[in-house]
Amino acid sequence: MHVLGIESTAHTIGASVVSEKGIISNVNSVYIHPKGSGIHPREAAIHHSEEGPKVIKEALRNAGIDINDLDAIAISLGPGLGPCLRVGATLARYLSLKFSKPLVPVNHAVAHIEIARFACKASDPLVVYIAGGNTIISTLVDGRYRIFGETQDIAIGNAIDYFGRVIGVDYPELINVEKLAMEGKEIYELPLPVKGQDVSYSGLLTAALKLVKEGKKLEDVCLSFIEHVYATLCESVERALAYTGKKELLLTGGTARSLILKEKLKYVAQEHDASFAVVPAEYAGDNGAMIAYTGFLAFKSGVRINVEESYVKPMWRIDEVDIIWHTN
Amino acid sequence: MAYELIELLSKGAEAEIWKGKWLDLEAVFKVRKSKPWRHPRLDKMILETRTVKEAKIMYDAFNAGIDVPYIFDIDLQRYTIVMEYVRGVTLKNVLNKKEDKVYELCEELGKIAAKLHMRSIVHGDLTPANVIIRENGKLCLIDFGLANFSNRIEDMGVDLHLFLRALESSFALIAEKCFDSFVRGYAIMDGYKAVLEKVKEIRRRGRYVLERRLVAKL
Repeated sequence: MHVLGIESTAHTIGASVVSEKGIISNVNSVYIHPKGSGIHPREAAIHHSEEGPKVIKEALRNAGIDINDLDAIAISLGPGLGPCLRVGATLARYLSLKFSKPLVPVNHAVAHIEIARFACKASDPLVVYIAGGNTIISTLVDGRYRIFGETQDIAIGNAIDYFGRVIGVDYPELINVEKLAMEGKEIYELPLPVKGQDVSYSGLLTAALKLVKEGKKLEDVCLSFIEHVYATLCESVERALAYTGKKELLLTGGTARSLILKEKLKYVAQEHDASFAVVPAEYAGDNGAMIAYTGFLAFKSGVRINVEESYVKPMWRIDEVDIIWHTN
Repeated sequence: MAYELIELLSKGAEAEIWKGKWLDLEAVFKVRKSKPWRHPRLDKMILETRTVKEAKIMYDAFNAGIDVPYIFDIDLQRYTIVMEYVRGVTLKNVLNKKEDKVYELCEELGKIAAKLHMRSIVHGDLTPANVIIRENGKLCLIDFGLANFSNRIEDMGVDLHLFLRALESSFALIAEKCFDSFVRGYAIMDGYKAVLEKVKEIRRRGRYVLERRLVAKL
């Protein structure tokens, strides 16, 4: 059985083929935003519409199969940026109709979790999914990924990237801000926004940017900002671990590439006698493989969507999706 | 210093609670723990701020006429609050036995919550395990680790919601009657109805529906 997956929720258009043998191809093209600005949804959508067909062809070629041999096409319908989502969805609908292949809807956030579970062989983890658009602490309970803690405003990756762009570091901002932070010595006090199980980063971001404006040493501001951001997240994760008693901690999403956070979460896991795993770098950021793999699981369990109903859902929450392919 | 930790009573994510001796008095020591994942300077800042804040809120609650453990000492070198050891049983234990007096106790707790809220203090973890019934029958409120100064209806609502949820998850059969008694006591506060409305709204939010299910499952 072969499933083609298409991802286009934000800056990446990706395509991948998954079969019983695993991920047999994974091709991605990333829209790189101009220095100093974030993702422009329209510009990213134009990039996707130009790159999409090439990416899909290459994924099929790398997998060594003909499009007629596919059993289904999985498409990431949300959450994400509307214009970007529509490009991938249009491609998927077209292929589905033209080649008479069933269409399988995939939630992008669920896919980040599934690919990490698969790559790290985790059986029942507490998942920390952090990226430019999401900050979610979740675990599977009664057939859905339930949210234990999440951001009340902007995502952790968004906060760090935005901060990086304002202070003028190059892409990838996360890594470059962290590198500056490693050279910092002084810690300034900033708000520490742990709200129950939830976190919030907009106030912390504003406070850190205020320090930049005041002309404080950049390395020190980076250190203070990064330490506060991660302390907040770690505290939330710790509460979730204590509450759920899970013995596996799994980190996934684009921000999982962080150099500093891994070490910190490792300590958190240790203190609660939990194992700790991080999604491999190739599956950390958005990619086609996670959609194809999740689509494969869903398709096997009978999940389908009619083309007429396959609307994109920019605000599709992770806990609205029934997870019927795991037994626990 | 006459300072002796004898028995570990409980270990939370944030702090350890020890029973011990302070001077010659029986005392409870709440010791906040360093976290290896925090930058040492940030760690120190957080531990100091939270220790001072908790003590300050307890003192304010005491001034508002609420029975809380008497604070003996605050040791900022060891991030420790030394307080009175309160003898008695928790409300949770009494609820477990389903004695008739539970409704009176819940009404009394409602009054205490109202007094706190009128002083712009929210407890943050208002569960039956955090209420001790002293040997003289008076209710003593403990664990202000998550408490805050706030006059937002939302935060007050969360206090009530947490109490209700704790009742429902562990004492489902008497939960409704207990909460009704609680509300009868809570009604001494002007504007208590707005808080009750908020509780309904909070309960409708998905994430809390989830949390209730989890409590039932764990």
